[in-house]
Amino acid sequence: MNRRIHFVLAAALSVWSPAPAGPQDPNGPQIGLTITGAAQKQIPIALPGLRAPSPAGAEAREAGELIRSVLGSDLSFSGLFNVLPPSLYASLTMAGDRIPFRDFAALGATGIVHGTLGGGSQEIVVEGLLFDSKSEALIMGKRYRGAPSLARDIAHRLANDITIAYTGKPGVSLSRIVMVGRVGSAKEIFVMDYDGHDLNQITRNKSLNVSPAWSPDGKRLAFVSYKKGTPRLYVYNGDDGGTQDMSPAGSELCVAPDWSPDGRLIAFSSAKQGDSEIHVLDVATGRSRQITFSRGSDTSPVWSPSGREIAFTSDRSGRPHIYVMDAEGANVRRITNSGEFNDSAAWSPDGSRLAYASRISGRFDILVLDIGGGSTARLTQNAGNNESPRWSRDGRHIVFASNRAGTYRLYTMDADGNRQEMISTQFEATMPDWSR
Amino acid sequence: MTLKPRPSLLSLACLTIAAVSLSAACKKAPPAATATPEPPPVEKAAPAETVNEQPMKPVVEEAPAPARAATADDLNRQGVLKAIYFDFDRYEVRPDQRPTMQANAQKLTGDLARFRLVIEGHADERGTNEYNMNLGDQRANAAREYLLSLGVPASRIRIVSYGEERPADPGHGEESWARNRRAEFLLEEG
Repeated sequence: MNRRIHFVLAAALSVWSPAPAGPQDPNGPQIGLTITGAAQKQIPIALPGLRAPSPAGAEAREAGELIRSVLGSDLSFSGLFNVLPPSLYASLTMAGDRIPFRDFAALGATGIVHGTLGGGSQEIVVEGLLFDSKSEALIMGKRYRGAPSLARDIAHRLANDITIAYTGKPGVSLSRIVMVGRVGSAKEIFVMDYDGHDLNQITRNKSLNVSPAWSPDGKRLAFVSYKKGTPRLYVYNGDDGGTQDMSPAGSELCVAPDWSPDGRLIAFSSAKQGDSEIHVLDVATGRSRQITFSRGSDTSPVWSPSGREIAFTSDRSGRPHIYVMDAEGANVRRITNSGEFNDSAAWSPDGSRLAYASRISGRFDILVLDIGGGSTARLTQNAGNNESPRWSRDGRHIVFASNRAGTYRLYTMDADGNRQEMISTQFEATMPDWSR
Repeated sequence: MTLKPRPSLLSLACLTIAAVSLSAACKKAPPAATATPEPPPVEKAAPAETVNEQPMKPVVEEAPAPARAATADDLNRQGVLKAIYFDFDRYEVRPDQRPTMQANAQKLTGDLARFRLVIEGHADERGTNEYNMNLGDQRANAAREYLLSLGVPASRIRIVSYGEERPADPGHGEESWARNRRAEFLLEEG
């Protein structure tokens, strides 16, 4: 019951903040980041590691190493930071509390993450301090306490706090990815940290479970399951562990749920007699109503970040294309005009772009449409099929499924298509969704 | 700043898994219909034989096995009803598939009238998963409409789309795809 232990301890993890000198602190460094595209300058940051004031036990030492490694991965992945290689500053001695700021500055480091590690086999205490090398000011400082088994979690939190200190917004280090994983001939829903660790299986019904979608608060999952024989819509509630059948009466097929930004509604596709239409479900009342009325396939609805519009796929023009309508179903307009098969739209968190999958020469690639400007960028090419794009909460990354290495696996990439990397899972994985 | 505990979804998952798996007594999908020789004729078990079975045990043993009414599973395994195949990205019943549909309808209104029917719609892997769900549904419905026109009662038919999730052929070439774009007809006990 590893997961239960994890939960109990996670709740016991505490954070203490000494003197919050955030970006707004007039005495702190003037940091203003404008996040626009790949050309943005990265912040050089040094991670000299955590200092153990007293002889630390083996468990605490291991936890310290793990924290430094996970922290480095998180900061690198974010794209905001240039994590300087430790070999650069290995010779710099950190005598007591004194940090050789000038030496770090000379190496090009702007930020220095310093800290201490205490505690023993029951609990570790990590003090994470972020300094600016030029002003020598403390930008952020927090203390994290928890069992050594929570070392990864502590590192993710520290990385998130560092990201908030620089950008004012959380990054992705605490985010999770839900997906469909193949288990024998069954497909089950799994959740993992964004970096592929801490994998948990949510469904175990040995049936087909597909199309998982996070609620905005990360506490519930909507998904489609064949556990009763036909594809029906379910909501899994992480608070009480219950799973509720939310399918409208008479539906022979439910698929592709997506939560409204306020978490009150779920848009999904429901079919009767071969005609699928977009429906909107009120989660509290269980009532749903149809909002598209066009013969053929209307599917894969996704809410705009404002909640005012829904993008979806329709073949009303003959081929599947992406359309946008008002959330009530009015004012339908087609927004992809080229390609023979466009599907799986995903709205960037700022609402300015739509990522989608487009079939080009028989294979799917991920494209991103600039809704205002009308230009389209192709993010994947010559690498198998690439499907099911979903944005990270900060709009800087996209997760997708690809069979470029043979079997379908999940990959992440920067929003401009750079750094396409596999998230390793031991099984075939498809249909990801990234938590807010 | 106060610490917001990470969403407890994962952690609680373990508590509920047992419940989920218990409630999900999911039916195993019947094996895909394969080409088999003509199925043995369906016969009702003769009650007289059953009555005689106890006192005349040795005789019964020497006689051929008494005919038992074939179950839906037996008949599905034998491939009594044949699958039909579709063109890429289409869901109309092809002219060359009509004889199969007619043969299926004949059995469904005749010997097999006591069963219910599940029509499974399937797609090849070339669309997106969710679009293929709809395509499979459209195929199953096209097959259903066809059977209705041939007199199979609507009340005995239900459909289920598997999209691209249950290929008959795991391959990735045109031949495999052609085998996967299909509707299958499976009997259920009435």
